[in-house]
Amino acid sequence: MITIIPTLEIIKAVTDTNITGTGANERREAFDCAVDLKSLGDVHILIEGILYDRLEKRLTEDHKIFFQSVCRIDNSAKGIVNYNIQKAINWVADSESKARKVIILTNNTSFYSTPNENIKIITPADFLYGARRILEFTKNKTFISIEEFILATFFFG
Amino acid sequence: MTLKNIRLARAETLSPEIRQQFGLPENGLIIIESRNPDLKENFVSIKKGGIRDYLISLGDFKEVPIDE
Repeated sequence: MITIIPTLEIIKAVTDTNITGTGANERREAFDCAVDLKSLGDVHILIEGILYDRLEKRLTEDHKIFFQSVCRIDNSAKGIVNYNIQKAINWVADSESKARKVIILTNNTSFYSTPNENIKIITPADFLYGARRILEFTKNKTFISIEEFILATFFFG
Repeated sequence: MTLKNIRLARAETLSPEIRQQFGLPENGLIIIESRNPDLKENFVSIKKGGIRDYLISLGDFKEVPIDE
């Protein structure tokens, strides 16, 4: 019921060989939290297809198995003329939002659009703050459904 | 042994026998690796270094730019 879409800078931070600093750590931890949330409920991590093609060049075969097993690779916008990663993510998010609630995880909030209330654009810092609360409450079994808690935190908060 | 698939699990929902066998904590994210040709499962606890450290444990990333 919830789909998290990490954008280019998030994926770069996870796979870069030489980026350090607070911002990079925040982006990596945000991705970790997304995977953590996925392990707890009906949460998908969607990687847009054009972005995945770029990412794939950095990966070994084992890395590819990880991303292909844990994430959904969405090739809907691949091959469309004049579509870059940003445009493709906007299109995929809009389409995905007809079926599920969507969180676009990005530092570049102005690059992405929210054509309807099922899409939220959230920075890694804000996502980390909310996701850590969710994970903490889940540990204490405070909420029955992880999905309801995600909705309450990011969509109705 | 070739990695063929990965599943996500929670330590708290695994049996105590599996936790003991693979030295897993009582809580937290666990990656279940399926490998063949022996078709074996391996359970890996994701610790402080997170997914990035797990991926690096599988091999180094290639230094290829992925800018827009």
